[in-house]
Amino acid sequence: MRRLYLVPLLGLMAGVLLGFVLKIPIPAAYVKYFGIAVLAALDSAFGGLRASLEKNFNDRLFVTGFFSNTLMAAFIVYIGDGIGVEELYLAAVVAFGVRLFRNLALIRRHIFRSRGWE
Amino acid sequence: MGDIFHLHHVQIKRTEITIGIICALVGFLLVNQLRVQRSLSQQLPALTEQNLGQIIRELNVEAESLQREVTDLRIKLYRYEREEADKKTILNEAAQKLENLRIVTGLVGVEGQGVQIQLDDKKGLLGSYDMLDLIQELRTAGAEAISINGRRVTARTAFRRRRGGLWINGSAINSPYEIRAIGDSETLYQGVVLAGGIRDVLGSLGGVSFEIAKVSDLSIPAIGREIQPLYATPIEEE
Repeated sequence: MRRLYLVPLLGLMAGVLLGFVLKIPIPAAYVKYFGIAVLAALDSAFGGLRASLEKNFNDRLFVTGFFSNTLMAAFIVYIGDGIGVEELYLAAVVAFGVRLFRNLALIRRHIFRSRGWE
Repeated sequence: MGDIFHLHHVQIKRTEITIGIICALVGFLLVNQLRVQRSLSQQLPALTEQNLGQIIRELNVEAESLQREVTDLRIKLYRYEREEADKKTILNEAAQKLENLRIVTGLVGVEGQGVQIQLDDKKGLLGSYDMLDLIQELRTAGAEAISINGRRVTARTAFRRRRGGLWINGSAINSPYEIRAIGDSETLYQGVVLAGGIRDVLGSLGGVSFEIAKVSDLSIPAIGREIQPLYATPIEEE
């Protein structure tokens, strides 16, 4: 069970390190879209963690979900700006935010249950 | 059993790598986004609505003053242009005036329509007064330039009768006299041939023949030399 967390944690650290080292600039106009995309990516990551804890993790589903969520999130916000409904990003924020918290809650509950603390 | 375990092992491994990569991606995106967002908010740190309003007001004031400056400069430019035009007009007028004066004073040769008079005085009866009468008559009829035997008659021309001939400005001229006058040829002609006029008076003298003809293209020379006024100076106008 411990080993299950090892690789994701290493990956996460590597990514964080890379982010500090590479310093890829994002044009100011696209920062908003990248923000939503990051939110979607976080949601997908926690979704994957929950799935693995629930033992129904499917890596293909995870990878496709990760990319499609990320891209779609940014795209929806972009479309919203394009059609003059800038508030559309709120929909993405709310949707991903709610899912994020739900995933976190489920993960917490799962850990409690598996340790018998509940 | 071993095969299944092996398969399971591979399965785990691939999944782990995938998850690792995705996690790395998440970490990277997160950190990059945080960094960019922070640098952006540092770029526009204090630009609250009030500050922006202040900036806009300042820029508006600046734009207004620049606009005023543009207007001022336009007005100045317009003035200079007008002054320049005025100068040109004055110069043109002065040149025109000078030209007129040169014609009137006989400083230039002139040409145009007018009349030509052949005055033959076989007996030498004509005096300077007769010639003056004729000149006066022509001037009354609007002659702008007159010459007698190729000598320009101007405001300073004086006639004298000496030794059976006429003197103009100190030089002798003899009959037959050829008098040319430039002006409206019809008016000049009528002024001279008027019943009881100068032609009748002079023509009635014995031995004098008086012929006048309208000419469409006469030429009259300039005076021989310019006269420099020694005593007369212009009165300065205030």
